[in-house]
Amino acid sequence: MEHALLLAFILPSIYMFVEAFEFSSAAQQFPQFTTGMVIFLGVLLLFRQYLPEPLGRLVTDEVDVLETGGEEIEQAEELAMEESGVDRTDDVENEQEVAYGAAVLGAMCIGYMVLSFLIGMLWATPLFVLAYTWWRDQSPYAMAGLTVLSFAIAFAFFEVIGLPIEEGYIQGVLGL
Amino acid sequence: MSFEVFLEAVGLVFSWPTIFWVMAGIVIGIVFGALPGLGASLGMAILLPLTLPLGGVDAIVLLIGIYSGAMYGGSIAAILINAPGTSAAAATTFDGYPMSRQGKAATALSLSATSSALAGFLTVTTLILLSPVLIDFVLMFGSPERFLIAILGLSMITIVARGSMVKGLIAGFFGLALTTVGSAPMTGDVRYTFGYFPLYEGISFIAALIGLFAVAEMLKLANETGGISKGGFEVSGDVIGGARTVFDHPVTVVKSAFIGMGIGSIPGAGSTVSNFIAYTEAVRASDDPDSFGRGNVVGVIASESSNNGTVGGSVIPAIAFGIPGSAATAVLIGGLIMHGLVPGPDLFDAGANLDVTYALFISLLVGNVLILVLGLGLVTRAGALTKIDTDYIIPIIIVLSFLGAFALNNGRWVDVVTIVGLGVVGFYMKVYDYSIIAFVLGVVLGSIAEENLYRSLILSRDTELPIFVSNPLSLIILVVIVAILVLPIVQPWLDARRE
Repeated sequence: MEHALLLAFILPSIYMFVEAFEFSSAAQQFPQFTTGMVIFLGVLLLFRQYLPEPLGRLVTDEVDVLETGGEEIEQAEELAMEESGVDRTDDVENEQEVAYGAAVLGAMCIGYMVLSFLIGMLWATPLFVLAYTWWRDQSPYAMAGLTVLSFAIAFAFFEVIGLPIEEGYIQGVLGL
Repeated sequence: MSFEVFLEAVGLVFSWPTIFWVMAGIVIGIVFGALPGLGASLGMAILLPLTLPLGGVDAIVLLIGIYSGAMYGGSIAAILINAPGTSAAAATTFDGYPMSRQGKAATALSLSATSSALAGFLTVTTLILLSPVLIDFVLMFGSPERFLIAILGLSMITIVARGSMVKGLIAGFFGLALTTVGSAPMTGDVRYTFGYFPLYEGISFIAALIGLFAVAEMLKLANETGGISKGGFEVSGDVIGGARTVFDHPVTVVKSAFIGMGIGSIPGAGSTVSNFIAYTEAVRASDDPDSFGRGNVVGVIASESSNNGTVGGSVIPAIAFGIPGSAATAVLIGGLIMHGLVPGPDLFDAGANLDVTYALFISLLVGNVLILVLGLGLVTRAGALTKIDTDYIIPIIIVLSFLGAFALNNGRWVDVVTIVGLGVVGFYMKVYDYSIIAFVLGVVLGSIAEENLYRSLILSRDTELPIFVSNPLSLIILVVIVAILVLPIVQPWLDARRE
C-alpha cells in the first residue's frame, strides 16, 4: 500500500512538471523544482531495494538529529503500557483492522461529500451521523442524540454564518 | 511608542468580549488536549472557520488559548490512563502514570497544572521583554532574507522529520507543489486549474490543515471502540502539596521552560521534541536517575514545563516570518491570514498591527493564570474527559470539518474535496511514517518562498553579487541552511568516528 501512496505523490507531480512548460518562465521554475524533487526522491524510494548499498542506506536510514532518544523513550512507553494494561490511541496495533475501520469511515466521508453536493449539507449531515452511529452499533439514544446534535451544528452554520447548505444539485435541477 | 501599544493591548485583552474568548480558548483547549488522539492542532483546525464572524483579535486569542490549554490538557490523560492526550505530553506518562498507580494522581495533576502555568508565564514574559529587540530584528528582513528564512524552515524538515529523511523531504516538496495550484504570485499565470474558476485562488491551506489534522486523525481513530479509558482510576493525592513541590524545583522549571521555548522556536520541531529533551535533561542532571519512570515528581515537572514553554517559542517564527514552529502554529498562521493579519513586519509595526501581537502575548499570560486556577480547582473531576466514547467524537469532528471547510470560502466545493483527499493521504502518511509536519511546512511556506524568490530575482538585476550573498544577514542564513542540509548526511559518519 505504501507504493500506492508514493504513486499518489509521483503521478500528479509528473503531470504538474510537464504542464509547467506551458507557463511563463518565471511561473514555471518553482513548480518544476518542487515536483522534480518529488519525482526524483519518490522514484528513489520506490526502487530502494535495487539501489547500491550506500545510496540505499541514505534513502531508508532513519535519522534523529536532535537526539531525542526516541528509541529508548518508545521502549519505556511500551513497558509502561504493558504494566498498565491500557490501550493507547496512537498505537497502530493491528494495521489490517485499522485499515478496515479507516476504509469504512473514508467511504462514508466520500458518501457524505457526494450526498451533500446532491441534497445540501444541512440534510446530508444528520444522515451521515445516523449511518455512522448505526455502523458502530450505538444505542438508539446515542444515535438520536448525536443525529440531533449534528443537525443543530449544521443549522447553526446555515443560520449564523449564512452558509448556503440548505440545497444541493438535485433541488437546483428540480427547481425546488 | 511600543509601550503605549502594549498598554492599549492590555486594555483590549481585558475588554468584553475578548476576555471571554481567552477563557473559552483555554477551556476548549484543555478538553481537546485531554481527549487522546485529538490535541491542539486538531481543535484549532476545526474551530478556525467558526472564527469567521469574530474580530481578528478575538479569533487569535481564542486560537492561542486552545493551543495553550491543550498543552496542559494533554497531561490529564497521560497521568490518569497512561495515554497522552497529545504527543507533547508523552514524557509525562513516564512518571505521571506511576504516581497515579501509587494513589497520587491529584498530586501529579497539580504538579502538571502548576509547572505548565509557571513555565508558560515565564516564557511569555521573556517574550514580551524581548519584543523590542525582536521588532528591530524582524524589520531587518527584506525579500531575499524572507525567502532564505522560508528555505531555512523547509530545510528543518531534514532535522525534525524523525524516521527516513527522504520520506520527510518527499512530504515537504509535495506540500510545496500543492501551493503552486492557482494564480502564480507576481506573474499572474493560472496554473493547474483545468479552467475551473474556483481553483484560481489555489488550494486553501486551512482546508489542507483540516484534512491533515482532523480527518486523517479521525480515520486513524475509527477502529477504536468505547472510551479511551478502559480501566477504572481514582483521583487521590495532595493538590496543594503538589503545587508547592513545583516551587521547590525552580531550576528544573526554568531550564525545562527555556528548553521548550528554544526548541519551539525551531520551525517544525514543536513540543513533542522539547518534551523528550527536557525530560532527558532532567534525568541527566538528577542525583537519582534510577528513580525516573517510577513516579519521580521532577519527571512530571520537566515534561510539563517544557511543553508549555514551547508555546511562546513557536509563536516567534509564526508571527515574525509566517513559519510554523509547530503544527498548532501552522493553524494559527491560517487564522492570522484569514483575518487579514499577514505575519511579518506589519505585526511588529506600532502603526499597523503591533497591538494584535501584544494582545496575543498578554492573552497567553492570562491563559496561564486560568490553567493554574482550572487545573487546581478541577483536578478531581478531570478524569471524566478521558471516558468520552470515541464513537461520539468521530462523527462530530467529521461534521465540523466538513462544515468548517465549506465555510472557508463561503461554499467552495474544492475545500471539501481537499479535506477528504488530504485526510486520506494524511492517514496513509501516518501509517507509513511520512512526516505530516514536513508536509504542513511545505503547504504553509510554499507561497511565501515563491513570492519572495520572485521579488529577490527582480532585485538582483541591480546588484553585482548574487542577491543571496550580498549582505551579511542573508549570508549567515545561507550558511546555516547548508549546515542543516549536510548535517543528517555526515552525522552517521561522525557517530561512527566517535565510536
